Amino acid sequence: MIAIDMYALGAVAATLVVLAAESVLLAIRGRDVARRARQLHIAGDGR
Amino acid sequence: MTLTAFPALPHTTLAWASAVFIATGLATGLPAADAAARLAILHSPAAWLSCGLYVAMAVLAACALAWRHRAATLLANAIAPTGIVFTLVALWTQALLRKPVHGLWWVWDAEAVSQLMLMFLFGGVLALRAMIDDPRRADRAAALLALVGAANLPVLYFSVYWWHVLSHEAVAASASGWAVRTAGAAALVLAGFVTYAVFAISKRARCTADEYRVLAHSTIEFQEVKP
Repeated sequence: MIAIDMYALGAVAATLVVLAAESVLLAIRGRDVARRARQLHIAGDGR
Repeated sequence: MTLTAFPALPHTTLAWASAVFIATGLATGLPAADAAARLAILHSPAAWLSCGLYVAMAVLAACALAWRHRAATLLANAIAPTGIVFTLVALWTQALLRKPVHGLWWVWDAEAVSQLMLMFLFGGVLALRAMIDDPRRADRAAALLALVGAANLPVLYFSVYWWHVLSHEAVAASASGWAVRTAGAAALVLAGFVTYAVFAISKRARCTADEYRVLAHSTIEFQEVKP
């Protein structure tokens, strides 16, 4: 049972890591496109 | 495509709201007595949301095909990566639920295979868009695949009845009674997942719209500079 409990906690941790990673990638992409928009003097939102 | 096509959504608020929902759901669900209950508070919301995301993608694809609606195309394309994430979560939690019941991580039954097919369909939509150079043809092909793939959804939903597959989660739930005890926690996690999906999809669609605009602007500048 202890091993299965570890599976459950591992699954929770892995899910949170995947969601956090996707958020970080999206934030980086948003920041990058906002920087390029600023360079071209167009109103990029990028938030 | 202009930036105003997607009015600025408060993405940061959505992201924090989803984190609060998921954390509260986990905090109430994780102290459950058995491990299956802990896994179920992740598996059920992820499985439901992956189906919901596919339905949304197919409806948007139909709108894009019927009316050539650019915003529908943009949103349909933005759904696929988040769909893959939640289908993956549903698949690995399903494997972890089945291991103690069967002693196997994977069983080739209709439920598991149609869930796997769902992930391949999300991936196929992304791959098809990447493979075709002409963006309009790529969008139309991806929309068509998304529509055809919607035939997998009833198979996934009714697999338990059509093939008399034992739903291991249901068996475990009725044995331990966790379905009732963790329903609140699962609902909170589902709310968190839905909020997160809205955040990720709107953010991705907005980034893509901005990138199109930047690309169009750079092309105009290049043409102006070019003698």
